[in-house]
Amino acid sequence: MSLAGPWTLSRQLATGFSSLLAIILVAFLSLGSQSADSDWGLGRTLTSTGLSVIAGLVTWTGVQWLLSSRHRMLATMAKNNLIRRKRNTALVIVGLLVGSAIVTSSLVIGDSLDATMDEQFLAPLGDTDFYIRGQDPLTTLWTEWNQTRANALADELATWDDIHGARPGLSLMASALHAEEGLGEPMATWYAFDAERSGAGGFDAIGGSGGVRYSDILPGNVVINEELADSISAGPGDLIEIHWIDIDLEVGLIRGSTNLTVQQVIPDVSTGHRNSRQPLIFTRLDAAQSITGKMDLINQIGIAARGDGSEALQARIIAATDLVLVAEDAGLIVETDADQGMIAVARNTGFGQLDAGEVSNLSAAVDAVGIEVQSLELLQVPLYNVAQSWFNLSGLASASISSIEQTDSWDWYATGSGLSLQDESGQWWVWTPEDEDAVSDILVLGDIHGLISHSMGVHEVDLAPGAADGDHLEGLDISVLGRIGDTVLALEENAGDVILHQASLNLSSWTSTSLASDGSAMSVDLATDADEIIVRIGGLLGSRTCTGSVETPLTCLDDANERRDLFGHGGATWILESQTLSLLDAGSITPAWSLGLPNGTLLASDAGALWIEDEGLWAWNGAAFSALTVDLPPASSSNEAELSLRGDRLIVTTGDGVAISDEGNLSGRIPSRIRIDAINRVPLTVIALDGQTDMGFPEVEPGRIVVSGWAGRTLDLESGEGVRLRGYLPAIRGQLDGERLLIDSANLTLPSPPGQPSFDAISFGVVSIEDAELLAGGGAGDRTLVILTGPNLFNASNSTQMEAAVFAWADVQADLQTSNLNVVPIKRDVLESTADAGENFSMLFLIFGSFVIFAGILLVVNIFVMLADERKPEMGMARAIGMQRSDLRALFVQEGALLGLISSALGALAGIGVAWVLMRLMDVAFRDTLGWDVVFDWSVQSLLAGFATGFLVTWQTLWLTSLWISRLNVVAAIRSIPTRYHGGLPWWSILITLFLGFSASASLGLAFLVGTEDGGSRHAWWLFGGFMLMIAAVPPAFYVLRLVLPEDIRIGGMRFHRPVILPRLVLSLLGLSMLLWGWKGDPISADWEQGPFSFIVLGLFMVGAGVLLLSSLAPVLARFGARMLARTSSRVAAVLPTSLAYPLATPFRTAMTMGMFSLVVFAVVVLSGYSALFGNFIGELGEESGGDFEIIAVGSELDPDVSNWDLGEANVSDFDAIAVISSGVVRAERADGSGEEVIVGIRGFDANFSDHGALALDAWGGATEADTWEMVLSTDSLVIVDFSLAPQHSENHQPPTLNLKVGDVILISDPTNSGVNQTVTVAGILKQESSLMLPGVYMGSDFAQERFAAEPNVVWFSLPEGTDVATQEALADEIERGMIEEGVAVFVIAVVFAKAQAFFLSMFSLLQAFLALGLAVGIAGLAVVTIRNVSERRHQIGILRALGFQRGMVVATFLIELSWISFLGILNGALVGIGFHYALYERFLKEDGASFIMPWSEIALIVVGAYILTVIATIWPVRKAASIRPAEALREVD
Amino acid sequence: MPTVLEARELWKIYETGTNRVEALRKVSVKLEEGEMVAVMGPSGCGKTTLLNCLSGLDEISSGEVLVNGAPLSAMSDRELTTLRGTKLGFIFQAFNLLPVLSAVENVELPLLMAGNSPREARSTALDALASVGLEDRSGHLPAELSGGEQQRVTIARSYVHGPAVILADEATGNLDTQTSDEVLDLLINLNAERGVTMVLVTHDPDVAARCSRIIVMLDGRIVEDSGSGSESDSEEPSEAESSLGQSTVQNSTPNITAQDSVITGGVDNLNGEEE
Repeated sequence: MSLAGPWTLSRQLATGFSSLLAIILVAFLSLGSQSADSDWGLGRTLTSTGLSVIAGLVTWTGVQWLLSSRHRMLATMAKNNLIRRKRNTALVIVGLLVGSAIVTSSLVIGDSLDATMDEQFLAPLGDTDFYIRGQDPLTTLWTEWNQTRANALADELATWDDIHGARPGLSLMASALHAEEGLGEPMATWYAFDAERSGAGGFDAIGGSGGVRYSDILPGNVVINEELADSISAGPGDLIEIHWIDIDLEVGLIRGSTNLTVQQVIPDVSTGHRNSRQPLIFTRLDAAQSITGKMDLINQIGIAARGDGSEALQARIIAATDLVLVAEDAGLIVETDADQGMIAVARNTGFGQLDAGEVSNLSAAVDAVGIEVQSLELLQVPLYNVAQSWFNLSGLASASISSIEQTDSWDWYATGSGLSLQDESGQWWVWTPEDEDAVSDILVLGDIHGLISHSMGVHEVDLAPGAADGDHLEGLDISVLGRIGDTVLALEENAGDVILHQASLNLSSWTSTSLASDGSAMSVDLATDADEIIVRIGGLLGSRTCTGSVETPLTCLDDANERRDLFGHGGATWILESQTLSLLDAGSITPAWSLGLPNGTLLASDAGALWIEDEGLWAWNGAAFSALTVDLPPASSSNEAELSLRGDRLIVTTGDGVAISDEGNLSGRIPSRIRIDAINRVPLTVIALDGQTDMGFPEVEPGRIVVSGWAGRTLDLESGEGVRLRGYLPAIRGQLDGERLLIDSANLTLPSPPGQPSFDAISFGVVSIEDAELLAGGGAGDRTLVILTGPNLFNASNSTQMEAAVFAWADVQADLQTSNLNVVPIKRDVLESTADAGENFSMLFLIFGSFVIFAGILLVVNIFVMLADERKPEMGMARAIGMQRSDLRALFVQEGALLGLISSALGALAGIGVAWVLMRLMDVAFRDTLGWDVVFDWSVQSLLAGFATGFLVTWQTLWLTSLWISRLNVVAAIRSIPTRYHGGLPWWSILITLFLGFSASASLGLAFLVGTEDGGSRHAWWLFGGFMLMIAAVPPAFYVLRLVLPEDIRIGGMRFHRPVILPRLVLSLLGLSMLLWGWKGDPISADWEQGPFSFIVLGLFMVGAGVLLLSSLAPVLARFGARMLARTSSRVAAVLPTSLAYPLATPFRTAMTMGMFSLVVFAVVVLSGYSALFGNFIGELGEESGGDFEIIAVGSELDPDVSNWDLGEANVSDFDAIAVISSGVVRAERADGSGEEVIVGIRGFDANFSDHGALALDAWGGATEADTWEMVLSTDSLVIVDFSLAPQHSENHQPPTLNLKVGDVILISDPTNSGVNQTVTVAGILKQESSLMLPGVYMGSDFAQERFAAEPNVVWFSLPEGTDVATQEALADEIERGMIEEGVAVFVIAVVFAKAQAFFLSMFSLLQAFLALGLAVGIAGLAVVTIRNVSERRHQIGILRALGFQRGMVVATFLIELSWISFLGILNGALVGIGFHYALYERFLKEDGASFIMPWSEIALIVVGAYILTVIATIWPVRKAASIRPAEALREVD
Repeated sequence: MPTVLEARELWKIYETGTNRVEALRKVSVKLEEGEMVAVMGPSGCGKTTLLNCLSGLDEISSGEVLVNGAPLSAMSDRELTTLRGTKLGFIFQAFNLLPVLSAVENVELPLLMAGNSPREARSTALDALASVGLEDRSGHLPAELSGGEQQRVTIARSYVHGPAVILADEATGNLDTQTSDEVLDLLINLNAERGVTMVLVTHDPDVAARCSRIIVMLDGRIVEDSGSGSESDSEEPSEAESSLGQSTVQNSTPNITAQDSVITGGVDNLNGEEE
């Protein structure tokens, strides 16, 4: 018995229920098949939904077929329709296939890119899943730790079930040189892992199956990868030089080298490191340790997990590592002073602090021991500076002062760490010689102009605007400076030889006279009076004095009595023989005591004063000595004293700084950094205490300070006065207000806790713990030192027990974080980042593909509408003989479901093929630009997504078509009469209006509810809502205009019938308003950010608007034009109206086809425009980023004199300019404090740089760009900043910027040295392209080096005009080869940019190829439509032929019709695309300074090419149809 | 009277795969200027095929067709098309108007091809439409006209360019009696007033009765021709005559017997539907 019967309600319910069940089941299965970890994106959800709906539809149709006889009959009809109309079926399948193919191929491209990146980034990792390693924040190198502990950890981990192996090792920066070939590679990485543990399991051989194991690398041998082998042309057996670089905080940069023999070259995969494709060097760990001296040190542990390296495993590794780490790793120091009964705990890494948790744990640990001790917690806070009434008192480079000078507005201090200058406003200026050497003497030449001597020459300081600093007598150890008349004297003492150098005031040329060449000199002095130069040379066995003048050479005579000092004072020269000071005048000597100077030790001298111990200050007036009225400040110290008196203003040294007495007012200056041993200079600090001890620390209330005696004395501070302290961290964060504290007392001497010998010397004073925490700017409870003390600790046993407890505590505290280590899930990180990148690429293809997909949808709609048109009479007949509307729909839906299933499945498969072709093309592009091999891959997920999309689009289109067909008037359908609606609005149009209106309102509302300004989703919703609203207004517009317009309308002598003109009018108005809305926007959304989706919406609707205008208005105009043309020839007269009649009569189909062309051409034009624009932009960047320089060499601490470089075969003369840039880091903020503060690089440029055009400026303050660079070079207070600090970059959430413009004033300061700062004015802003290579703050090189310790590290080379890139590369290779040992990397700017450009262009080309596929779809679609069209109209061809139309005329008729549709479509797409392209430029690239490019020839090629291809694709069916016999054609029925 | 159209021993054979249908068998006929000829016969006897062959719309298998003494076989497709466009006019049973062109545009098409200026063509076409009583429907599309109106547009189109011969295939077949009479009147007037030679394929004895000459066809042969006196040139007599169902043609002189087509191979499959 058949199941089938009448379609009763119960059967309908059964069908519905089973469909619902199918939907739920498939949804459950597809959702459940995803693992919990997988990225459940929107796309996957949609695919799952799509598949569920398909399952529901198929079940519905199937059960219907099973249960309803009527539907079985319909199914048979549907099947017959498909089978018997083979040509139609094939056509529809081909058309529908395209949509699925496009979606699938977009997704498969994403899959393949994922796989490619896996191959690129994952394969190199080999089996390594985790690294334990971390970066030292100070050196930025890998943190080193103890190998024994690392081995213990590795062995422990290796025993775990889910870990396969763990191996400690070293990673070092290195360069490699193949001496024989002369080829070098400056940027290689040297890996050395424990051979035994690498071989124990879990780890592949280095380089995978074709590689080598660490244990197989022989002593004296090295294994290199292919990349390095290619780079230096080395192979097995070759001897190569390995140079490595290391940084030691105390020593600085360390360079070392060794020669090793290449044992094997391994492939660039599976090395266990991400950078397998970079140049790599491998040795055994023990070999590396012995070569580099890093005995018992490692800096990473590689771990191979058995599974996927889960987060749980990572947590367990972290816990295990924390257990292994000990106090030493975390920088925790425990010092015991048994004699004083104290144990001190501190940290020597990071900011040197113990956090609150550690401190409280320590208390608990101490309590647990059960020995009563007192615990004193100290917080030591580094200070930025100390000020009084906002006047900065701490700015001396060092407390050891060798000379003091005063000019009108500046005080000059020559110190043991450089020169410090302070002006009357309190601003400090510091110049430090390269090796922080002492400054030996100062010679003031003017108020802000002077010379300072140091062990490497004479530095000229000129603070006048526009004046340049200079260096003279470089490399010579100058001890004393002097001046006689207009001649400057510099006395050099070098290994016991003495040489006098003389120069005129402009210092342009120096002459030298040797005064002693026997190497016996031990000290020298220089004095001058009006006409005589006198030099004292002190030796082991006595002294000699040389006298002479500028004109007459100095003659030297041994002194009868040893002279110990010689100086000028009061316009005369004085010598110190034994203890006797005497006036030296023309060789005769007069004792000073005989001239009125009291007896006593001379402590210090100056032109205006002599300081005699216990006798105060005295001065020679030319005739006699008299005591000065100026009193010495109480702080002045007789120990290595120096003084300077100018008028009544006296500056004397105190040993801790200087004391100043100005007309009786006392003040002082102290250093910002204290030299606590021969090497270290630490910032001045304050201390706070928490806890009770009897160690001698005072208790201080909040808001008050007890100042150290040395500071109090020097600065003459007293109780009740206030000082303002600025904490170092808050200050470098821009909080310069500081804390004002009242002085309780100023005579404190701090005790020195264990391990803190210089506690008193570096402490300005003691403050309350609350104030200290404020000044520290860190977390509450943080401490720098915890001291345990108390009587019990004097007991040795107690002390030992307590010390052990504290050590145990310290080991427990040591963890990854405190040890600057981390467990890095390297494989998981790589997987995540590659998946993201793949998705981004996929999205790019989908966005551009969306236009093609829409074109495909239009093709599908077109085909169905055409088929429906064709089958209208048949459907009418079916209705006439009793078929229900629902039956018609069911018939169509069954056909559609079947067609959809077949074509979507085929399409999804075809998509894989398309993606394969594209990936092959991409392979070529990637190989050329990035050197990547592209891997082709596809996932079931992508296949299903393509299938589901294709099916749903097909089904949806068919369903809508069937709805339309089923509503046709039976008679109209049978007779193929166009349906015209009369009377009121049909109910369905009211429904549509309501639906569209609702959707529009919802979209507009969603713009505010869910749309965000970031990424432009609000804009997209808003745009969409607006467009929908306009479309919703169409039916009412029809209704209203029909009432308003007369039946016949006459315009310009032409008569229009209302039913004909009304739709055109309404659609034209719709098109026009859409164009206006899209183009001009509206005031509400004017400032909203536009994103990718708003561009898709805008693109689709603008193209639609163009199509509406063209398809509604153009035919009317064309007919008018055709009449004009018809006058020229009778044939034209016959052919033109006939050819245009068809598109006019079928506006919907015409519009669909036009839209199809428009969309694809639009996308191609936009993309080609954008790629031309972008390619040109990158090209421009490349051209301008280096100014007139072509090659850049980057290293560290380079010799600024390139003539000393080994340039290989190249010569300095090959270059027409060589400029050296010195780099450093500063903190920059707006002087008005209104902006953010940023840490930026400073770029000190030399004259060669500015003379050779430097870099292009965007804005400048000088007369010309060159003039501006010149000004900045010579003026310390002027700088040029890069584009990122300028206002253009303030939008779009770019990195912090200062929003600078020319003329703004900024404060730049050394982020690690509070006293070093400078207020500068922005004189110019670099262009964006010029900012790319070397961003930062540009200033004169001397100033950058002197003030901010910038080091020469970049050298720009310029080659003569017209030097080709090959030559540039050859020269760059030479430089790199020559400087390989210095680790200098050399780049040719053009090559760097060409690579970037090639990569982007090849990506764009791929997208274009993808779109070209879309264009092919459009053309194929038109061919399909044409074939259908022609075969549908064979009868008409017969009529035409019978009426006398020649074959050619028939062909012409069709070609004109096709051209009309395709050309207008193409033209519309191109025009909207051009407009859109400009909009994109305005939105994205204009502000970046790109120039506008419209690739007209390419666009012309697209337009003409697409048209010609269309003609080629359609000519065959047309010609074929035209050549059939008229009688045969006439026999066919329409 | 000069001969305008002549067929000499025409054979038209359709061959499709294994099927062979002899639609015309050695048909010879001469049509003289100004004649009004009715071609009658049962469905499938070859009337439409004869018309198509005479007008050059279809190729002949053998024999010759002469238009004004010129053989069609010697003409190229171009010349044939030109001939159709200038010398011949067609009226089809299914009207065969171009659905996308309005009435007047359909009518002016032959004029435009004949080289008239668009303005002249439009005015002549409107005159022609007026002469068939459709001046107020000139702007309508064929689908908006009734069957009679469409046929009148077809008639206007067939003579608007002044052809020598109008070939009408069941011109009144789809029309009611009254409309049919009106259309026939139009054709007779054309023949009488303009001397256009008319060839009317028809089933209707009333139509045939109003013609000056009647040709009766059976099985691809002319079995009777009231003009020439010869019944048939066929070499082979009909084998099937007696076995065919008969229908009497009323009110006609002479009486003829029409037969349904059951010609070997089934002409139905090929052109039977149009007959």
